[in-house]
Amino acid sequence: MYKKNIFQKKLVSTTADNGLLERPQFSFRLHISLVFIFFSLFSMAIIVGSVIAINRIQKKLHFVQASERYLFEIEQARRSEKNYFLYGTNLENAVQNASNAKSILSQNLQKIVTVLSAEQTETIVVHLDRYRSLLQELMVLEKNGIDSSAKKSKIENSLRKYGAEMVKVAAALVDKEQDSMNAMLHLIQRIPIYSLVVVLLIGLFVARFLVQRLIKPLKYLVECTHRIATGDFSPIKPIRKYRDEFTTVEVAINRMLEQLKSHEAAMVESHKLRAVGTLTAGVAHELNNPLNNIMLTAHTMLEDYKDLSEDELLEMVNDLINEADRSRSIVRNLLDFARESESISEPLDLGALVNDTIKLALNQVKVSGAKIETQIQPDLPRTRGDGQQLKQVFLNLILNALVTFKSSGIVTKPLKSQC
Amino acid sequence: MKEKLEILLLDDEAIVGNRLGPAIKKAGCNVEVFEDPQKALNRINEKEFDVVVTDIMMADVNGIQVLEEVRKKSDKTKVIIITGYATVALAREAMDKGAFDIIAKPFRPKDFLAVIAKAADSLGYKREIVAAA
Amino acid sequence: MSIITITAGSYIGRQIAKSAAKRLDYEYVDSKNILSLVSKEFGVPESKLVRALKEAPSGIGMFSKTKPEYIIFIETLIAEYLLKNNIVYYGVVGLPLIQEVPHVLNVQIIANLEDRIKNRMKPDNLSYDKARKVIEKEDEEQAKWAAAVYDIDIKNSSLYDLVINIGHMKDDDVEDALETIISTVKHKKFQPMTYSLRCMKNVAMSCRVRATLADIDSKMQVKSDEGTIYTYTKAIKKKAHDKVLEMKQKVMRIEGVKHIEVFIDYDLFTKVAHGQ
Repeated sequence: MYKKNIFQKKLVSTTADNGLLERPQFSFRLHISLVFIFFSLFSMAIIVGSVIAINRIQKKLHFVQASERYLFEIEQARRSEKNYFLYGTNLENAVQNASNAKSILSQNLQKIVTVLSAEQTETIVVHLDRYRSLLQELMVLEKNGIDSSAKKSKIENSLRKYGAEMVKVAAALVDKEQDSMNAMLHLIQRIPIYSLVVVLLIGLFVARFLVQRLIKPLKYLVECTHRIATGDFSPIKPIRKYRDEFTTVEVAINRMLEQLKSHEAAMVESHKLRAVGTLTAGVAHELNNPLNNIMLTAHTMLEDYKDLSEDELLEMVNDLINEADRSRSIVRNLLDFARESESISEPLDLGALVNDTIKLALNQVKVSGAKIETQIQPDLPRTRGDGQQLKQVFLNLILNALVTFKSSGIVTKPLKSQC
Repeated sequence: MKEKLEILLLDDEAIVGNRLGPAIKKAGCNVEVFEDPQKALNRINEKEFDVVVTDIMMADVNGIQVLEEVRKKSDKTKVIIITGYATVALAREAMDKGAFDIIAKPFRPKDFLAVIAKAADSLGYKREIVAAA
Repeated sequence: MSIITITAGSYIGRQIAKSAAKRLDYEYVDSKNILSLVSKEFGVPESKLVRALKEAPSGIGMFSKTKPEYIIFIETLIAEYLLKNNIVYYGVVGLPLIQEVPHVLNVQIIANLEDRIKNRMKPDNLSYDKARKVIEKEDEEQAKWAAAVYDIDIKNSSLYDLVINIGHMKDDDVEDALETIISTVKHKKFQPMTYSLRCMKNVAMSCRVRATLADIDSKMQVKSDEGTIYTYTKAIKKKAHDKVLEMKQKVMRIEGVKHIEVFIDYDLFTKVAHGQ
C-alpha cells in the first residue's frame, strides 16, 4: 500500500504544480514551532538564570554573613585586647574571639580564596595565627604571673599592628562582598525588565511576521477565487519564495481547475446533447405524419394505379413530393440547431428566430397540450447577436416552461425592443 | 342490421382522408371524412356511427376528447385511434377511456382495414371488409 | 389477452404467479422452465444456462464461464413466448425489454422479511439465522445480477405497474393479492391493441436478431419496426464489408425480416451534435 501512495503522488503532479512545489518548504507549522521553541528556550534561560542567580546570591549572603561574623569576632578580640591592656581583664575573651575567628576563617577558607588572591588569603591566615600566638604568649605570661611590662608592651605593639591589619582586611572583605552582592541584586532586578522589553519587541516582530504569513496568502487565495468565479480557469502561480500549507491548498485548487476546464467543455456539449435528444424524439414523432401520408399515397397508387385518372395520379405524386419536402424541413430544422458552429455575431431578425425556435419545439408543445402565443412587435429592428446561441437560450426557456406546465394554459412570448 | 358499416374519419392531415376515404369505400363501407374536429363532433351529435377513427394530435380539440365525447354518446360506437405520437401512457389512457383499438402511424392501408374489419366483426357484421387486392 | 410479469424476491411470488395463471387460464412461464427449450434451440447445455441466470457475465470474457449470449438466448425465447398472449411470466430476465409494451402488466410483490425467513426455515430445516442469511444472499445476488445485466434496480417500485405488499403471507393476503392482480389485468388499460401487439412483435424480432448475431457482437443494439431491422454495433471495424454482408445474410433469413440496416460504431447524437 505504501508503494501505491508514492506512485499515486507522482502521477498526480502536473506542470502547474511544479512552479508551486519547486520552492523550499517553510511550513507554517515549522514557523510557529520555531517561534514557540524560541520563546520556550528564552523562558527557560530566564528561569535557569534566575535560579542560578538566586543561588549565587544565597551563597554570597552566607559568605557576607560569615565575613561579618569574622569581622565581629576580630573586633571583639581587639576590644578585649584593649580592655586587657587598660584594665587587665578579658584576655580569655580575646583568646576566645580569636579562636572563633580562626574557626570561621578555616570554614570559609576556600571561598575567601575565590574572592581574594591566594597570597592575600595566606596573609590573613598568617596574621591571624600570629595574633593568636601573641595572645597565647600573653596568656602564658599571665598564668605564670610574670609581670614584664617590656615584653607586654612589645606584644601589645605587635598585637596592635596585626590586629589593625586584620580588621582592615576583614572590613575590606566585608565591604567588598557587600558591594558585590548589591551589584548582583541590581542585575537581577534589571533582568526581568530587560527580558520583558525584549519579549515584547520580539513578540511584536514575530506576530507581525506571522500575520503577514497568514493574511498575505489568504488575500491572494481570495483574489484567485474571485478570478476563478468570473470563469478564468488559469492556474494559480507561486508568488512567495517558499512553500507551506497554503501551497497544498493552491495545488489542490489548480487540480480542481484542470478538472473544471475539462468538465466545462463536456458540460457544454452535454447540455446541447440533451437538447438535441429531447428534440430528436419530438422530431421523430412529427415525422410520423408525413411518413404516413407518403405510405398511404404510395400504397394507394400501387393498388389502384390502373383505376386512377391521370389527374388523380399526378395529384398523388405531388403529394409524395410535398410530404417528402415537409419531412426534410422538419429534419433540417433540428440539424441546423444541432450543428456546432463558431460563435458569429450577425444582425438577426429576432422575430423569425423566435418562430424558428418554436417550430423546433413543436412536438413538445403539442404533447404538453400547451398553446404558444407570440407577441412580436412588428417593426423590431435587427439586433446583433449569435443566432445559434440565442436559439439555444430561447429553446431552453420554452422547454423549461413546458415542463412546469399544466395542459390548459398559455405561454406567451412577448418580444419588444428595449433600448 | 345495416348493410354497410358507417364510419367517421377525422384527421387534420388532408391526405389521410383523401387516401383512406376511397379505400374504405372500396372495402364496402360508408365513410364521412373530416379535418376539423369541431365539425366532426357536431356530426357525431347528429348521427350515430359504427366506427369513429380519429387522430390524437390536432389543434383545438384533442383526439382523446373526441374519444370521450363519442363514448358518452354511444356505448356501441367503436373508436379507433390513429396517431403518430404513440407512447405507453397514451395508449393506456386511450384504452382506459374506451378506445377499441390503437394503431400507430405510419401504417399501411391494409393494416388499417384489418382493424376496421376487427371492429366490424365485434359489431356482428360479416367479414366483408377486405382490402383491395 | 394480456401478459402479466411478476417479480418478487421470494418464492411466494412464484406461488402467486402460478395461482394467477391457473385462475385466469393463462399459461405459466418462468425463466427456469423455459431453459430446456433454450437449450434445445441454441445448443447450450442447461447447466450453463442456469449459471447464466445466477452469475452476471463479467467483463473478462475469457475467464467468465457465463457468456452474455446465454442471456440473449433466454430473452429471445421468452419474448417469442409472450407473443402468444395470455401468459403469466415469473422472473426478471427480459424485464426492461417489455416495459414499453402497453398490454403487459408488470407486478412487483413485496413480502415481509420475517415471514420470508420463517417460510424458508421449514422446507430444509434451517435455523432462523441461517434462513435469514440465505434470503439476504439470494436478494443481494439477484439485485446484483439485475444491476449488472440491465443496469436497473429491481427493488425500485417505479419500474412496475402494480406493487403488492403481502403483509404476513397469511392465506387471506395471498388471496387479496391474487384478486388484485386478476382484476387489474382485466382492466381496459391492459388489453392488447394493434399498436401494442406491434410493439411486442418488434421486441421479439429484435431479440431474435440479437440472438442470431450474438456470435458476432453480443453487445449489439437492435431495433425493429415492422420487419425493418436497425443494428448498431461497435465490434466491427468500419471497412469490414464481409462481416456486414454476413450479418445481413444471416438476418434476412429470419422470418418476418424485410430489410436490415447496419450501423457501425455509430453514436447518432454525438455525431449530430458535432454537425456531421
